Amino acid sequence: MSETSSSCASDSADSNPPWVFYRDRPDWADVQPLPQDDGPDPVVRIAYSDKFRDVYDYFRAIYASKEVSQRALSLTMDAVELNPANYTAWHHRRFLLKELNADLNQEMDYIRFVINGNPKNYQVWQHRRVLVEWLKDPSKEMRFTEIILSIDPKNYHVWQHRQWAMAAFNLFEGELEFVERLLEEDIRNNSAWNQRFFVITHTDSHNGQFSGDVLNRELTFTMNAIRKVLGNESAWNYLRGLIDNTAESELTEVRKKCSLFCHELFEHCDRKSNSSSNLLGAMVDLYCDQLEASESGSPKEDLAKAQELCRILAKEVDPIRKQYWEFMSRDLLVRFESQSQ
Amino acid sequence: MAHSTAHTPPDAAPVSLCVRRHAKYLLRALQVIPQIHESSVDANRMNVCFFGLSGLFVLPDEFNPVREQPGERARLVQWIKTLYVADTQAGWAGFHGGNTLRTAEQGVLHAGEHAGHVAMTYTALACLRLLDDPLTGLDRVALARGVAALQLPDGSFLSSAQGGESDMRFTYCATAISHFIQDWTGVDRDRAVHFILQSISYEGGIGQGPHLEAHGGSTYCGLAALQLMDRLDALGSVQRRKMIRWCVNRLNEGFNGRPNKLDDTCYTFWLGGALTILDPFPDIPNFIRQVTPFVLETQDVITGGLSKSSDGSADILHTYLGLAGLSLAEFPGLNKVTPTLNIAQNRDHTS
Repeated sequence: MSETSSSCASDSADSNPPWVFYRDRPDWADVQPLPQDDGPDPVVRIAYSDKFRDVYDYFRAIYASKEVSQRALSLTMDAVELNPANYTAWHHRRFLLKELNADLNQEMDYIRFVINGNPKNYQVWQHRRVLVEWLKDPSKEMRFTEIILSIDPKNYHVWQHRQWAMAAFNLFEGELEFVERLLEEDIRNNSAWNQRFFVITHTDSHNGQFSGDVLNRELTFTMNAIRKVLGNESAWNYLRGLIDNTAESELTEVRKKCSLFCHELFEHCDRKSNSSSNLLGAMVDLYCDQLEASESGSPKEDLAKAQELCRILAKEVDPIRKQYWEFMSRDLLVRFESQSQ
Repeated sequence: MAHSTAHTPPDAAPVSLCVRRHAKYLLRALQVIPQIHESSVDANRMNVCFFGLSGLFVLPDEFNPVREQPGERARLVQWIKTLYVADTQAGWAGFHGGNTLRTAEQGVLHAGEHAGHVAMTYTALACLRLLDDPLTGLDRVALARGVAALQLPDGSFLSSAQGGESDMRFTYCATAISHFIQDWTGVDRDRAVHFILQSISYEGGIGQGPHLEAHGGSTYCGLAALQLMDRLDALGSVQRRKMIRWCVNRLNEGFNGRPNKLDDTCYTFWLGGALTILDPFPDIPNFIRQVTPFVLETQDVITGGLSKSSDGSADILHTYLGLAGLSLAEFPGLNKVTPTLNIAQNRDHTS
């Protein structure tokens, strides 16, 4: 609701002819409008405009009669323009498109126009998805979503639609390059990082597990991003995602690599700055991994180091999460105390 | 929705919650929606009703004109039930978000072809619970069938039997409905749990579906659904630890919904609720309480209402979710919200 725009396409163009109410249109004289019955004492009563009331009175009429006609189809256009969030109006429009065997490519042009004005509305994206399914033609989806993303690169609806099209029609080619362009523009774009994970999971993983060249490429890419912006949670989360989805055979090596990377950063970072909170958190996790896998040569020291990091995080680096880091420290002790004795 | 241009002057930050003004703001939303908002609200009036009513029940009792007024309660119940649709042939039922299809001559048009929208069914039942209505005149079995008709093979739920999108929001709605009607036959819990687990992203939070970006709203929906199904233990220990980390990391001055996004009042509830459900360490209200100054800054002290940020304009969604979030932080005077149901806790009261 907060994400729907009330902009009305027909009102924005000055060149449009003046609006004529349906009740005043000769070609609609044969239709009896059906007013809404909102009960005797409505709640959340809407002070409808005359235009809105008029359009929906006639919409109800054609909805009731199931009239299949061009005029009914164009009436649904007025209905969804007045309220792009009205799922019933969209549904009825699709019913008419089918019954009329309408030109769906023309409808694709129309929905492109509507989405441009309402890029965060659920119903408009759903309409587009149905059209693509009907046409079995995803050829416009990558370019179209790219254009909408250029306005808001974190629009969830767009990413959802793009991922759907990619998975349904196998459109992964070139996506990694696209993601890299977005990350060059904004290395903190978490949606782009998520898309990167989506891509490599589909194209470069074995049952979701990474290994070999792909894994090395991703680790290098992520570590370089972290070197550029230490406090970038998106990149740290991606690194953790890689570790958690590394093939068993390479896990020990990857953990060592990440550990080394973190310790190098730790030597040079401002340890009191909040920007190093993700680094310190990642180090805690890596100590945990080692203890969990019983790979630690000196479990007692590692547990103490992890707890010390939690203490620094709680006291200096990340005090708003003090409760959390104190909990982490206690949790570590419970989990690994027996090992470290 | 109810936009206003009045803002708090930056150097005169309010230190208190303008309870009286928010009560008026919420009550206004229950009454009349101005013409300029007709397009955004008409199909979602039930949600607006929910935000307004549920908000009043979060506020201290003396500011809630509905709680002790049988006439007003009856009026609300009556209107909510005008949005109930039942398909006698298919045997399913649900609620619509508005009366777009209701006419005096023919009742609800082609009611047999659809049975409402699952989000509206959830908010309608939540409102009826707040109003202590025993669901008179509603067919619980049909409501459960209405839910069952929406579940897809992957475990997710459609928004309506007419099709439409399926995502984590509707998984939550389906479980909350089942809870309200005390009939779980509409939800295949194993499949629903599977869908939620599949939607946990590499980051640790939950997305609207598999592979989608983890998001505060969908993380709340997934966790609340697991809790309502009594399946929170389906989260493995690693999943749970990562989810806790992801959730606590959303805290800045306020909560944001995703890494590197701006803080927003509505996440006070979504993340506050997620953390309350996870309950990872003692005194979660104290953790959430850190966002109180941020939330108070988003108040419109003239018209009432809260907005998503201190430079936004108030709307009903952010007003409600901000208040519900402050309740999870145990803000003095506010009634306690049940995190899984997103309504003020049921209390015995005379009516």
